[in-house]
Amino acid sequence: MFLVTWGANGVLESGSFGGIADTIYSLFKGVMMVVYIGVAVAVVVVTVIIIIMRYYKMLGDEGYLWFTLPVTANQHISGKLIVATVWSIASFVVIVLSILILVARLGLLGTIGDGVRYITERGFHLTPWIIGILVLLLIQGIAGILEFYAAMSIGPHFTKSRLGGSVIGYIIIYVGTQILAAIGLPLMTFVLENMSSAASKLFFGDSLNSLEVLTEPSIFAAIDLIGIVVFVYTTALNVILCVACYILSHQMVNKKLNLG
Amino acid sequence: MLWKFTNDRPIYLQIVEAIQVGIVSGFYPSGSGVPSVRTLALEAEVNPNTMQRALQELESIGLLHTQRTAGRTVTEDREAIEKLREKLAEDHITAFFAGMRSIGIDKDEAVKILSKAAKRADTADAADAADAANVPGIAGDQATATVPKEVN
Amino acid sequence: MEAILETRNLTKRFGAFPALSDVNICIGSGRIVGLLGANGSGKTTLIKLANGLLTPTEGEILIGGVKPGTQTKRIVSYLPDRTYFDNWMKVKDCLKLFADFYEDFNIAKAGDMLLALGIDADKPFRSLSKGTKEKVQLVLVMSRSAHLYLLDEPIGGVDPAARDYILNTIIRNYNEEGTVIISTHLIADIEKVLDDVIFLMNGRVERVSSVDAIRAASGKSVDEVFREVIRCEVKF
Repeated sequence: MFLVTWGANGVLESGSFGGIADTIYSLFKGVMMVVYIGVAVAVVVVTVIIIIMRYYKMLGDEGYLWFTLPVTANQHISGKLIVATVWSIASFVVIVLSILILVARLGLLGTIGDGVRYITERGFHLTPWIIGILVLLLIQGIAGILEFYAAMSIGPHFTKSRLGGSVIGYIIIYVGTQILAAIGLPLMTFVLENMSSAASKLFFGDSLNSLEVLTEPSIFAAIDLIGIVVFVYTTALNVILCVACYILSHQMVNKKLNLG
Repeated sequence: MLWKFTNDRPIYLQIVEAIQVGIVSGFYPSGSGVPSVRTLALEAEVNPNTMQRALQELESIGLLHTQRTAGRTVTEDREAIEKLREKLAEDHITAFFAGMRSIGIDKDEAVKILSKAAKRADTADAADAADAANVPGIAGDQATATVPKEVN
Repeated sequence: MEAILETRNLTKRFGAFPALSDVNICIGSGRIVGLLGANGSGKTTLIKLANGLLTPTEGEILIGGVKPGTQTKRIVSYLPDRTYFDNWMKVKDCLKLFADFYEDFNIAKAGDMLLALGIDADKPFRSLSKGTKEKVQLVLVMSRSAHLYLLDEPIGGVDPAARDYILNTIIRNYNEEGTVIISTHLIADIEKVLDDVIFLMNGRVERVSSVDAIRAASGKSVDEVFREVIRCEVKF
């Protein structure tokens, strides 16, 4: 199934290049674009649905099978988590690749290449940024998955309906994460504003890569600083969420399992 | 061997009786080996523990013996078997008289009716009479044919 | 001889509803035990507690002296009263799953049993009739060499021929280290296979006895005695 969506993307890309000023062709291009976006969205939605359903089913009738196997709760949760993560990464890669292909076909690669060269010469550290963003997305993704799991694990305990309980549980957790994120904004601003040169050097001395933040008072240094603070805060938050949700799911499944 | 049980009496007692009939009728000949507990339990469709209890009961009254290597065998004491046959016959007779009494026929009258019926039965098929009494030994072929749903 | 299943003051409540109250039982090894009771009397709850699918509200339940967990699941073989395989799985996939997870699973034996029942292992689960699905699950359960078999209503929705086959399989599989607990409300059919019975009523243990003792004492079948017991309850 995953290969099918990838194939669809590929086909769609090839339909999106060229710039013949033909009305029908333009229409076709437009439609292709819509379909492409539709498929991309579908890939994401399907991935999320699969991730949720696998776990949800485990707490349903299938649970009679899974939870009578001589397997620990840890193995169950981490097993599902790993598969979910792989699915997510795969979907992500598919979409990114399809975008790249699209860009390439449209002949924009050169332009982007120029842009990249421009900013890296000015002191923008592209590699750590890309790595940072990827790591951030990864941990954010894992946290998101675990939030689903935690919601499905605790929700049904408070309501009669398993589905309703899971949804409510997720809403609660989602609201919780949003609150924590919202706290982060003023917190990070506070940190940034009160950064003195010396403190910055101390704090960021051995982070990501060698960031010559202070010797290069350029705009990119400021961006780097912001990036780092955001990264650290968000990642820390997500890691805590991951751990909390995992423990929550584990405890509910291990000690308080009540399979309808 | 056709096993038929009723649910209102302990099964192990019913098994004991059935095997006693089997011994007396020659289905389990004197001195021959008896199948294992598991085999019999499967045949009779009863709990192996129950079968075990029945076999132990038969051992304790001396009708079966356990040889260390050869499993269980029927006793070779023909006198004991004869005594058993007499006892079983008496049980049938007692039941007969009780049944007759319950329909208002006294012992002497019952004996007369019995003699008449015996003369009639001489001309009837012997196998039919054996079937009616459920003595499996005589209908030997029937026994092997009814080995139930055994999965090979 | 250590009890394979033991409960001490076991209580399970769902909200305010007491599914099981103060259950104290002790079952040894090598027995075939009937867990008898009307629907809703707590039979399934007790079995799910033994499996670790439910956790006690009060009291405790021990399998082989240990609380239900990964260790006990190794020695317990459970047949639930519902189908629990994902419908897209093929029967032979189910066999492989069991072989992977359970050391004591005899895949050859399972294959033979499926053959004897005329079930095609290549078929996906969803294409089987309800009765066939139940038979497959039974085959899987009985192909394990467990210390405790928990069968929840194994003969409930099954035709008489299959019923005989199931009882036959239970007898054939019997071994001295294994105990079989059969939960059912159809007592008459399985009486002759049982060693002991436990009557459950409204979540409480009404009586524990051997089948022989009941029959000898009352001159009636366990089924009849059980009906009387229920009738008495109803009168009050």
